[in-house]
Amino acid sequence: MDTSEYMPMFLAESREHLQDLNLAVVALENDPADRETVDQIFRIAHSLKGMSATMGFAQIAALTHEMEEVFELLRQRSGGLSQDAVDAVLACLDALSAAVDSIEEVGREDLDPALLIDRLARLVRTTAAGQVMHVLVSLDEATVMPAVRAHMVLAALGEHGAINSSLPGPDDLDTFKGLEIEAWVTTEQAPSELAAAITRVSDVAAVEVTEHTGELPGASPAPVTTGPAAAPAAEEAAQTPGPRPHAVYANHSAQTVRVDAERLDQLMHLMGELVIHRTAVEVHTQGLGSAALNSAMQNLTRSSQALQSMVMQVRMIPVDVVFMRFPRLVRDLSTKLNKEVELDLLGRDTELDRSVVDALGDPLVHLVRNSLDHGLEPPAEREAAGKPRLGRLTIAARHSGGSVVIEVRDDGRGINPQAVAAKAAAAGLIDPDAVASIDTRAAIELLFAPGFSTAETTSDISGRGVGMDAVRAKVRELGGEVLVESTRGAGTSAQIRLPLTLAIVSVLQVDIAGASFALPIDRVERALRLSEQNVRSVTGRRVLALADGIIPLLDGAATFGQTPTGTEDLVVIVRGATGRVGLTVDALVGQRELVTRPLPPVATEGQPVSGGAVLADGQIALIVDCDALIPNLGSGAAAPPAPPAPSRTNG
Amino acid sequence: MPDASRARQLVVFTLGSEQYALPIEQVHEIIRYNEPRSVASRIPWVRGVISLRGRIVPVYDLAARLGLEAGLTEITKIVIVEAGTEIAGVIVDEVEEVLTVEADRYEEVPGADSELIESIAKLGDRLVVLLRPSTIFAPQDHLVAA
Repeated sequence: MDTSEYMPMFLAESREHLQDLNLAVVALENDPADRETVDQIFRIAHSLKGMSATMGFAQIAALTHEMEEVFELLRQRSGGLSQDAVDAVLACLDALSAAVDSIEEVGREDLDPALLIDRLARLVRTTAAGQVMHVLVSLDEATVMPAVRAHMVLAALGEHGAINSSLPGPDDLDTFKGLEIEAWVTTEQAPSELAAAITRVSDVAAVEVTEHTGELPGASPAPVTTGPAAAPAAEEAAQTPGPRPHAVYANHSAQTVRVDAERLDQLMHLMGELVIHRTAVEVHTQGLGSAALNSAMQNLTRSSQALQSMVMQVRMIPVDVVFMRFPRLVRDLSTKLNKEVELDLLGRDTELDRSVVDALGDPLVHLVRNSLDHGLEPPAEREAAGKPRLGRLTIAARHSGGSVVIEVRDDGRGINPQAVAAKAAAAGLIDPDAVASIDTRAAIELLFAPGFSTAETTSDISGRGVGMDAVRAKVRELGGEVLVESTRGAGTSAQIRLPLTLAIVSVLQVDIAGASFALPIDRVERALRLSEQNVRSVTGRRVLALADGIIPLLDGAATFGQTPTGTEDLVVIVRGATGRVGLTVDALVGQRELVTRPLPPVATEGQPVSGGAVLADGQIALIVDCDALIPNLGSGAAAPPAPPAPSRTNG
Repeated sequence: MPDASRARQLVVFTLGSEQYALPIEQVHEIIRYNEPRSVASRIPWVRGVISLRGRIVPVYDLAARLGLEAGLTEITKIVIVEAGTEIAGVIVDEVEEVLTVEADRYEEVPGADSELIESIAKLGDRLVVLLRPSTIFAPQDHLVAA
């Protein structure tokens, strides 16, 4: 059978399944009693096995089959998985991920599961503690509602062990009219204890519990769990003995369609062109005075805006796609570092543009590693400081105006400015004399200095040569910013603030020295006439003395390397990374929706622009990177080094 | 060069009194000159950017790059060159013709800027300088050095 056309789907789904399994196993480790997760694990493992077998990947199928055995045991007994079992299962998941990667790269699964299967098999043997009991319960002949009693009997049994199978089965329970209930239960308790528990159920006339030897009656009612938390999935399992169908996933796929990410990008691109053309038509129709044309134009605008917002929505995916990797990552790292950490993921449904979500992974991983490695203390140190032993790491996403804020927060030791400064001095980033007088804010800025983290001795966890400067560069590339706040002894919080969507940006278009520039509208505070303002000089540089503060004043033409025209009488106040800045401009053109395009790096390297956009008349406007507008007022000893010129790529 | 043994098609253009050429496979199109939007690049021969079907493309002043004097005229053109994933425009005086040049017409250039120039084709009394398209695009070290 030629399965190659299904390969992309197989790869995508396998990865999804493996990711889900990783999550579920870690979740189960934290909450062993969660039956829903157990059922979910079972379902996913089963689909994975079925898929890989269909595609002819025998080793993956063999390994998942063995994993399924372990999970099956998990279904039967309460108490979750032992640490050994979790480690073994996670090792299997890693091997499976590697196999899937290898299938994509070289077409073979390249997996030798023998060792892992052996490891799993040992688990199954040791996990299978307890003895199978055969339980025969006779109800009083006067029982009015045998179905209810049977239910109670099985529930009582479920509390004392795992029910392998029963007569009646859970589906027949409602219509049960007999007086005898038979069950096979795996339990660690003595027969007498089990009997005593059942006798407490009303209308039970007699109980007979015997140790069961030999095969379980597997062919008749399928293994089933009936307990206080009889989950729907368990019932489904009971209805379909043998291989379970992919029913659960089939239901989902009926309502969603898998779309190639590239097509989404194309859709976005075309949408962008449409916006450009529409704006051009708008410009040409203005002042023609045709009422019919104006009304048609309005309709066109309305439809295209609706279409635009729909395209945007289609591209939105929940941030959970990135978050999913963290439970596993945090578990592995905290184990390695001998730290006890509880991870909270908040706002997982928060939606972001796909391109942002894709690019967000690495910066977030870095922030999480930092928190675990440098922020959170070992348990003993925490207790000595009067804190709870268990460290808390929160990753939270939320919408805030037109932005999304993703925060990585820990309740660890916080940033020690002197330690940071000492390290920076050792790396030659600052004058050693400045170390003593450094404050937290300046220290945080040092963290972002290029060469700060690469200078440290490479620890296995966070020192990989990528530092906070790389995080900042990446986030700026996405049009966002990173803020770090820290309180000594109480913890550190890093916030990534990103625009909701990247491709279309709302701007104030201005002219500076005869060229078009665009200021992102969410950064524009207001525009003022320069001649009516109080312009002063501080250390030789111009400042604007406003009623609500003194802000640096930048000459627009000089900032962008243009020849000044001397006609700049307007100043636009924008919010930058270091505060408000005034930028002089020739003229305000108006508010526009622009489709951002990457700029060739050779053209704008080192300039405070973040991208370009083609205007309705075919001219190009440069989009101003407000965070890179550096006022450069004075330069004290503790002043941080200038941020790196953000690297811009064509991506 | 894998195709050194074959004849090559070249797009020939003039810069001042000299003739230059690029392999036709790498010439994407030729457009009328429009003043690029100035970007104040630190690299002197970056003339600005233009928009080409929605893409923003850098335009290089080839004459300045080669150290030639050249002014803008009515017939000035921008040759859009593609190399790998990169695309850029170079300003030329006039596009002359497309020539098929046999492999044995090429000569190595002693002392020439071999980073930019691949070889020189001698056609009668004409000298056509074959440029290396990959180096028309600013190499990264120029950025670092800037």
